[in-house]
Amino acid sequence: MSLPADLVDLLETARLLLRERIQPAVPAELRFETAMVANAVAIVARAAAGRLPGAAEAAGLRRLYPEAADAPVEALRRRLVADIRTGRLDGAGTRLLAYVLRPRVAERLALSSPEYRTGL
Amino acid sequence: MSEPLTAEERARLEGWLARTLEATAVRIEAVRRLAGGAIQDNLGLSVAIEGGPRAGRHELVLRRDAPSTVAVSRPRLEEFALLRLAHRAGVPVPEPWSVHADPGLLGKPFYLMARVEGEARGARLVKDPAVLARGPELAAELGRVLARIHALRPPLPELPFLSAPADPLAARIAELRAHLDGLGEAQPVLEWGLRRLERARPGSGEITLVHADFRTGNLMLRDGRLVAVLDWEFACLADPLEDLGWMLAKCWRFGAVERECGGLGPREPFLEAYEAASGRRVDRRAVRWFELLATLRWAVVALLQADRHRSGRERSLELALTAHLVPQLEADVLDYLAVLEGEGG
Repeated sequence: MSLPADLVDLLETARLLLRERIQPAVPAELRFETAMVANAVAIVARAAAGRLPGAAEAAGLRRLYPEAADAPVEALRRRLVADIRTGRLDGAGTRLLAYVLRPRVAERLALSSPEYRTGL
Repeated sequence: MSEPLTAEERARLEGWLARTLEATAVRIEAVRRLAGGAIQDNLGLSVAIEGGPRAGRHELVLRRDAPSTVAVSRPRLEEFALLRLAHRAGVPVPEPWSVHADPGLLGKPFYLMARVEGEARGARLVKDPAVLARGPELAAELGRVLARIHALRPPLPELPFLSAPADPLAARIAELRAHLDGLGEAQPVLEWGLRRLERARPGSGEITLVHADFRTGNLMLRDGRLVAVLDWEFACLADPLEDLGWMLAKCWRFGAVERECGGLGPREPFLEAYEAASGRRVDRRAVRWFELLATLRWAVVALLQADRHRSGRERSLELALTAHLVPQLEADVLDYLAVLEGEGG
């Protein structure tokens, strides 16, 4: 789901104006606040352009629990968390990581901080 | 933003200070709100004192609770007791002056401490040439200061509000799970990290006073040297490895990820100086596990901060944006587990 292209463009244009013209002119005591505003606008711009997380994680949850594939995602996620806590998935780390956890992290990073350098 | 102190509050504070400090007169010449701390309201006071043992001009900091507080932070009175004990133990902290428990004076309990000049902001420090020039020495200095904090072991009669958990790691994991349950949104990556930690049971087997927020951002530096350890509000009795993990975790390096000790210096000089000063041997692998715990704990605190905004208790863009740090922390959780357990665990 994404916004119409002209609305995405409106947001992106506002974001660039903020970053290129307004931010450099802002007094020191408001620089942190301005950077936060720019960050918030950038996140929403990415979401508007269709980078909302959820689809890959949902597909992974359905793969992990094929018999419950019709259940709502939030219910599957709750079941997953309960299974993790009780130790039912202790031996299933490889599957869990490949199906759900890594896809979840990748799509959430793509929205919140696509420039983040992973790895220790 | 409103005036930090009303005229009446200022007058009441001057009167109380004069009585407390046995002065003939106290004049608050300037008040300003200080940056830092999503949790407290910190005011900088310029004070002129006539008579008594503190006669002269002083720069003080007044700390009181913010409009809403995080459940895991300590009230100001307890923080003052911690500061006083640390000061006596030779830990560099701002000198604690006096504490006022009665909310009648300023609406909330508060305390006063000396204002220490320096820089604590992480983003500045990791680019500071004075810091970069002495990274290994600074890291070693931090290790020695932590050893001094960890020399404080229970029983600590000065801190009657602290209790020693039988199993500090289990207590921490239970606390984080309880917060996640309270927030109500299922967090599979954080839960997986908690479960792996629970199974691995890393620990030193010791319980000491732990600062629990010892990291870049809470360390006041001047010319590349530590002048004060700030923000004692999370201190508790726990496994001392918690502080080592918190200081070294990737999430507290302010972008300078290659300098593993808080973006300030390298890892090994920090750990070696800690070992030399404390007489403890530090299991390097256990430290990694505690870096994972640090990452999980910061992720939960970030979710709690975001919830303060979302719930409407305290509307703030800074709090709202902390929710968007969580995916980075989730990535770190998986990276730590890959190093500790290999792919798949």
